[in-house]
Formats: sequence, C-alpha cells, structure tokens
Amino acid sequence: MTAPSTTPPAGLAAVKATIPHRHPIQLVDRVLEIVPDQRIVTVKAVSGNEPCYVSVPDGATEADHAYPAALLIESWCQSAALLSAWSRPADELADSVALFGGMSEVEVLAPVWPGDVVRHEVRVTRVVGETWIFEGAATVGDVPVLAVARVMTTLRPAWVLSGAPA
Amino acid sequence: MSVVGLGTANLGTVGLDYAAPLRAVDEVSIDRDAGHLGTSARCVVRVDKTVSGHDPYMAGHFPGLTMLPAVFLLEGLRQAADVALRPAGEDQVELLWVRSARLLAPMLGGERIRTEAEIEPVAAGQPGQPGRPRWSVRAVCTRADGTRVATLAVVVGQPDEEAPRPAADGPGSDARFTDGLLDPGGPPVADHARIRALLPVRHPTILVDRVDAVEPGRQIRTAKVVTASEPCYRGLPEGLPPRAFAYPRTLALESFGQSAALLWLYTTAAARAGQGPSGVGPRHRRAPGEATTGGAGFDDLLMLAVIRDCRFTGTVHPGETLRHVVRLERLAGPNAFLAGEIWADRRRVATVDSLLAVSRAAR
Repeated sequence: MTAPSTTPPAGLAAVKATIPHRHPIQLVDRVLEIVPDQRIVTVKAVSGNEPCYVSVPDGATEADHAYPAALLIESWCQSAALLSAWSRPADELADSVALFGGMSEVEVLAPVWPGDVVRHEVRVTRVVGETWIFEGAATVGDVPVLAVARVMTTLRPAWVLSGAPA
Repeated sequence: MSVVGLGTANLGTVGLDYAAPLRAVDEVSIDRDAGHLGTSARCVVRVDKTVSGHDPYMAGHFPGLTMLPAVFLLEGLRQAADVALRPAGEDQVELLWVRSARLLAPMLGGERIRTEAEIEPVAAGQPGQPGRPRWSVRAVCTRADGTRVATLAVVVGQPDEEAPRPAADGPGSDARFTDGLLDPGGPPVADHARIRALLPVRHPTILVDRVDAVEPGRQIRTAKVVTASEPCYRGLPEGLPPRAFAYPRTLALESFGQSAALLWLYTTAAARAGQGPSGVGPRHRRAPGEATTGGAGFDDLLMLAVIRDCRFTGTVHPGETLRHVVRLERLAGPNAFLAGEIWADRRRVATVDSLLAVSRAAR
C-alpha cells in the first residue's frame, strides 16, 4: 500500500487547470493521489476511438492496436508535469512552460491495449532550481508496462520559446 | 394559453460548454408560457437537425452509409432541453430517464429531421423526480417528407449529487465488482481487432473496447474506457466545472447498444455452429432493406427499434471504465429483445429495462 494522499482524487477539470495540454494530446484523465513536490498517481484510459487509431485499416490484428509507446511516455511525462505544477499559482503557470530536458533508461515493458486503464506513478528524486528530476513506473492492473529511471524537466518563461517577452 | 415566442436560434456555430458527441441541434425555437421558466412552466420546443457525415462520430456510422444513430435524437432532445431550461451558470441538463424511444424509419445523410417536443415539469410525487427539478419531454421526429421517424418520451434535469466514489478508486482504479459480477482477469474474449471485425461501425464510433465474457443466447459483458482524448472532449471552452466533463449519456447508451449487437452476433454464430471455428456472421447477401429471417449476420445492419425504461443513475468521468452487462431476453426472427445495466467501476450508472433491435440487410 502507498501512503495516504494529501489531496482527494481530481478529475479532468483540475488536470486542465494545471497543465496546458489540450485535446487530442490531453493524456492524463484523472489524478488519484498527489503529495505536492513529492509524488503523484494518475490514470490514463486507452480507448479504441482515440485519434491514434483513426488510420488502423480493416483487417488489422490486435498487435496493430497496441497503444503507441510515444504516447504512453508522453502520458507519463504529463503526469510529471502535473506534479511539478500542482502547487504553483495560476498566473505563474500561465507564463511558463515545462520543457523536457532529457530522459534515460525509459523501458517499455509490455503493450497497452484499448480497454486498458494505465496507472502512472511519478516520484520526484531531485529539484535543482527550476529543474526537476523524476522517476517512476506505469502499470495496467498488476502488469508493469513502463519503467522510468530518470526524466528531467525544466520550467522556462513562455517568451523564451516564443521569442517575445509578454 | 398565452405564448411568448422566443424566435429561432441558429446554434450550428455555438460551442457547447459540456462534453457532447456532436452539436445535435442546428436550430431550436422555443414557445413558452408567459412568465419565467421555473419549475411550473411548460413549453414547446422545435428542433431542426440535418444529418451530416461531417459531424463528429458520424464518419464511423457507417462508412459509405451515413445514418443518424438513434441515440443522437436523444442527444438533440437533451441539448434542446438544455437551451430551454438551464439557468445561466448552472450545471447542464442531462437525460435522467428514457421512458420510451421508438425508431420508425432510418435517418440518412442529408435528411433534415424536425423534432417537436412538449416540455413540462414533472409534478412532485411522480416517479423520477427526487430533489432537483425534472421535466418530462415528449417528442415526435419527422423527416422533411413528413415521414415520422421517431417518437421519444424522456425525463431530463440536473442529476442529483452522487455519493462519494468508492475508495477502490485508489490503487488499481480498474476495480473489479465486489459482487462478483465481473472478473476481467485474464485475456478478453474479444479484443479490439475482433470487435472491429464484428461490428459495422468504425472509428471513432466503435464504442466497445473489449468483450470480457459471453454466453451466446444469454449474456455478454463488455468494457469501454472513457478518456479525455475522445472526440466528445474536443473543443471545449476553458474553465469548465467538473460536471461538464461527464461522459455523454447518449454515448454510454450507444456503447451499450453495440454490446447488445455483439451478443446477438455471437448468438447467431453459435446457432450456426459448425460453419467455422469462430465464425461469427457468415456473409449472407440480401436485398437492401430486406428483413432477415432469423438471427444477425455480418452484413446485416442491427438497428435499434425501441428503448423502454432506461434510467441513468450515475455519472462517468474520463479515466473510468464503463462495463456493460447485456442479457438477451428473447429472440424472435429478425427481432431481439435485450436488457441490462451499465456500471462504472463499482457504481451502477444505468439500467435498461428493454431494448428491441431489428436486423436488416445492409447492402
């Protein structure tokens, strides 16, 4: 069992209020547990009517319906972004973007299928200034589907990217 | 009756502030009793909708033959009731109870469907009206040529607050039923690829992800997960309250209906056993529109004909799993009578007392 959460489960409204991702790359459905600045548990459900399945042809096998690993990792990283942004004031969030600085030893362990509900667990291992380092895993039921040894994000003002101070 | 006409509102470009499968109403006009629309008001609402293959979800219903799913008539009624009844700033109006829906003729691409509905408050003491205000809506839907395509009787309103979610929402949110109704451990009976091979609907209208168990002739258990990247969550405005992200009840009902179709297909296949190891629906060819003589084959369109007494008792949000339990009550030639429930994790969110489906040759 994990330690009790400090915040009750939060749905899509809270997720959207915290991170800037939007449809169709809104890849966290729900926050189950969060201890700000320490750890988060989220879920992402995978359904056959998501955009990534639009061009799967008739006659495709189940193997063709495996959820794309890139989206699985993105979903985990959005959970990390939620964790780092959770306790920041809204005006600060509005003016900054979380950039992924790098990841290492990210291992996809098993395929994820339509109908699966992925549970992401993200822990903070280090914070240096605006740079955060995370680790964690993802599971479907009892099956590990993703192991993440190290993901680094850094928060930057949005104008650094757009090239013009607001 | 003194009637105040509010004129006609073209809603085709107005964004919805709640999750919905499509803008199911092009134009709505409301004639209401003088006075403000409180719990004692009655009104008459006229809704127009042109069936379009370009609407979200319509591309998959069906490829090459655009046909409005019956549940989208119910969605239109709900959206029109929301326009007529919801005070500004309050939760959206939802379907609470489908007393009856009778589908009399198909609604094809390009056809303009007019729905005329009478809305009146449900008096205290009647079924279906605890707590918050509820309205009874009775509607007749017709095509431009005057053909009646459907009659609908529903109760709408804002859902009552639900009890807190079960604690099982925590670790392992994909919780199994405590009462042993469903145990999805192990591989599914049919995965998504198989479901796609069985059902004529296509992306993004395939609303069953997995078949967990099937007893042909008796019962099927299926699952559909709800996620934020589905089309019904596209293009919503910012800053919406949690209630706005409730999964559309009409899509949950469509998902139930597709599960019912799968049960029927498995039942037909079992009855024709010996025609292949997993041979659901041998490819029969019939004249278009010809009623089938029995069972449902791969090339047949399974159409919803009647829903009776479908009650919604809960709300489902992204990250949760819809679980359908559908029972085949009776099979009579091209007609199948089905019933069942919809669950979300450990909560029962809908019961369907009776659903009549008919099988017709598609092409």
